[in-house]
Amino acid sequence: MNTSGAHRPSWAWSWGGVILLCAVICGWLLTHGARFDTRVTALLPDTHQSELVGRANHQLGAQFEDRFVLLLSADSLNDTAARLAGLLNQSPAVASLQWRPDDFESGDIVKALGPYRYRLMAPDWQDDVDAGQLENIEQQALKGLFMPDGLDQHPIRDPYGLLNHWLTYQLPSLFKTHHNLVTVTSEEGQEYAVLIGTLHGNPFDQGTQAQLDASLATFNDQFPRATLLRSGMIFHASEGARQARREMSTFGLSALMGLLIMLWLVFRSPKTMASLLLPLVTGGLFALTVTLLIFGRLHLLTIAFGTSLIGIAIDYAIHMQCARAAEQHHFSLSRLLPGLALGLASSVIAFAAQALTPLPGLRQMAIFAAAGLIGAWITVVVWLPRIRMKNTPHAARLADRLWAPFSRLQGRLRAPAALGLAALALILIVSRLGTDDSLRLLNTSSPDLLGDEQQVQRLLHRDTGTRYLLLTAQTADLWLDAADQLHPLLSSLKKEGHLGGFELLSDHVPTMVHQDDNLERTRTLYQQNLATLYTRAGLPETLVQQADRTLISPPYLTLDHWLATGPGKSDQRLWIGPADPTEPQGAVAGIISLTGKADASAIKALQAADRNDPHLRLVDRVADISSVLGQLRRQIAWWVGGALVLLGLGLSLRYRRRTWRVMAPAAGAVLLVLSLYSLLGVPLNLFHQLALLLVIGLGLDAGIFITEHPTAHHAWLAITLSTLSSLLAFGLLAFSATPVLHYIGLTTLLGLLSVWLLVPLVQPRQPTSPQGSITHE
Amino acid sequence: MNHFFRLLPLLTASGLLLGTLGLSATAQADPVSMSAIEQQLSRQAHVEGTFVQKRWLHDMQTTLTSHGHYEFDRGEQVRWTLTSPVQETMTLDDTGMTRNGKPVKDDPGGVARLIMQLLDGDLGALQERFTIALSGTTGHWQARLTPRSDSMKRYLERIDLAGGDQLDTLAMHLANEDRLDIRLDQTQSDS
Repeated sequence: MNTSGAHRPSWAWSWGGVILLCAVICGWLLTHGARFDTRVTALLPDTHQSELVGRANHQLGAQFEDRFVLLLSADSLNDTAARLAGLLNQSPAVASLQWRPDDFESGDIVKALGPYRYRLMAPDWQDDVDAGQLENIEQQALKGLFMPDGLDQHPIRDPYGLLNHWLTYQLPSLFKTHHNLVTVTSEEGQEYAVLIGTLHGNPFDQGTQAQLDASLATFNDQFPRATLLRSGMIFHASEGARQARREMSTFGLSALMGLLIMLWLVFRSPKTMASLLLPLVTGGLFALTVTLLIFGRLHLLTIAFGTSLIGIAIDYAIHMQCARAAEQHHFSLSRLLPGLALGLASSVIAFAAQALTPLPGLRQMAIFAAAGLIGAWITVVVWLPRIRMKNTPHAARLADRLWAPFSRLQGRLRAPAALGLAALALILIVSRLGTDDSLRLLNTSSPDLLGDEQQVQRLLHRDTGTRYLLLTAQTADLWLDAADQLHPLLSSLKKEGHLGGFELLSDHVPTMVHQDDNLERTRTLYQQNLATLYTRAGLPETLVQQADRTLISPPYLTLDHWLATGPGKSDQRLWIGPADPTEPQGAVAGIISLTGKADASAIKALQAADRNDPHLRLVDRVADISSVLGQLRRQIAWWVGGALVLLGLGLSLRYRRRTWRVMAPAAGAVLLVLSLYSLLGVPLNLFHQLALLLVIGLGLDAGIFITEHPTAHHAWLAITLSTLSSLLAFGLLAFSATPVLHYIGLTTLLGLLSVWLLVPLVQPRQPTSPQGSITHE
Repeated sequence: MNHFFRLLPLLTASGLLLGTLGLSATAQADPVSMSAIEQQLSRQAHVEGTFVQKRWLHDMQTTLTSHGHYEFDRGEQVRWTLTSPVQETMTLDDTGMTRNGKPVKDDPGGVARLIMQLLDGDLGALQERFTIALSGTTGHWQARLTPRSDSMKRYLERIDLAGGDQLDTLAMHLANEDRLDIRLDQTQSDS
């Protein structure tokens, strides 16, 4: 028996204490405010500015998350819409539904905006007054007085209908409301009824998704010929979840079954099988606790990638149990320990290197994976040898049987040939490999749903806030001034067809200077025309004095006031308020949303404006996410490349001239996969690379183990088993329809097969194959 | 979606259209019923005449008076023209409303649709938005329309219609005690 430190009972008890403590801490953190992050921006470098961008993004996206929009076209639109509304109103998923014109009631506008009307004048009337051409205004005023058109056209309060005209100008009508429906008409002339629902629950809640799906399915059954366009997070979330569930059940189940069958065939012992999974569980718990303690929150991508990296952890357990099964009472932990330790060190270094990058997302993933590996490794070393194992002669026999093909492959690839192939692969990769950082990578929605979404947003002139300008200023009024100065640029871009449209708060709330100008114009209008207007209407001229009194000192319309009114409510999403929530009196921020297309010259002009003004920032979320993905991809590539070089140097201290044999499976597999992608024209993306990390980790473990134990049959059995288990767990994902999973799976499949083939190929040919599986180096 | 505030012109229009129904004279002494009115509504194909419209401003104790003429082709189009003291033409057909030839997209009360239903003799549909109380006889009847929705109630208290052989008067009582009174004189009708 060996007497290595790790084998002492006190170590096992201490580690048990640590794991118990982790469980307690983890449980406490998860129930006391630790949160899961899904925002992609959380992966961006942490700066004050991007926190503001995060808030802006959240605010713009909130409506998209809490609500959904349905556009319906059908033969008898009113009846069909009523049936659809009936079904939706019955659904527990829907808190409220707006589809009748009355549902969009916006409160008492006269009361809310009436006092400010003398300072609000639509641009066409501003021009008329400035030019002294008052006939048109007078005609409209007369009509309004006799045939009251709109709001509060009162001979004294508002003889010219300023409020009504201003509001009409502010809110150009996109919707039609006849037939007691709210409708929009497409460019092709197709009429759609608009139904806007507010969700009762979270769009990511499966119960909510199922309830809404059921209502719409019933509707589709009853009205198969009606067309329904869907927009809203819930539809995308529901589709993504449905696909994930479907794939989990096919891939997850077959992977688990395959893994269990494989382990059973080899070890024929439930206890041994459980002992293989134990490191995964303890490693995961350890990683979760460490990550939560350091970051306070967990990004869902961390769990997704981190878990796959911990997959390497099963390696240690397999190596250990294979060695024990093969060597039985001859087993010595101390002989196995150097290989295990180097395997751990190499993987941890490869991952931990990324903790030094400036990207918080990558740091988190690195720490999660490294902690997971360390936790699993400790479990393997201090616990597993203490679990009594039945003799498993079957595993030993299998190890011997597998050795035959291994020995035939041995030594077929010598250093010069390997070097030549590597050079060839590098040339191929450098000259041909493309990259892809587009947002499509993260997309799980079907083309149908994406088409619906685009059509709805085009018809409603709305966007989900993917591109906007973020503006900060010292006060709300200075903000309006600054926003107003952007108006000429934006409107000329729009006029020239470079920009689809924009929403500028200063168009709705004029700056104080403009409000003063407007009041002057109103005074001019009253002075020059009011007496005439009254005469033509048959009203006494003496009323002029009463009307003039309303112009003495009318209040200014402030941004806060506008946002609180019915028509201003929809502008709330554009206003952030204090840029720093901890400083309510500090600088304020707001959004200028850009809708529809923005071509290259629009982007260029807006980027120039961004550069020239430190308080203005062009946010392009699609481009930002792409650049995050690209940045992550490049960072990982550099760090992993650097880590491999360092590892090579470190490993050469122990392995000397054999170092290339240790590195070859991992490095060779990476080169092989990348060359294949170059040849097939598959552009490399972040997720391919994350999967390559798994390949590198397993490849290094395999290289180290086989070099440590070049004649041990159990080492080759362990490498084969760990390759197969990882292939079952990840390789099957190559057939997934979810893009991210497909990329990870395909790369793992190709990479691990390469590792498995390269391990024997680069080993030196053993002169004589030793009898039996018990070997001593 | 916050601009469903143009209530008055549309209600005016609805009143006008009610006025152009051209209820034909079947002087009966029976109490009036929905079905009787519905029957009458479906008789005349073309109606035209003149109107006098008085806007009463309660807080000023003042009336603004205007004149004009109207035309109605059953199931097709309604045309309402203000001639004095200002010119304005309002049309309403199956595709919606226009003012001086320009389309008006808002129909906050869904009035246009209601009117079309009314013209087709579908009083049941009007009841979706108003409570309707009928009194008098078919030869001399009154109808009181009270809005059901709070948003309409904020502006409009009720609409009173009265007629005999045809609709004679329409009075819109607004929530602020202002009133719009319209008197119709039919000059021509074709069955």
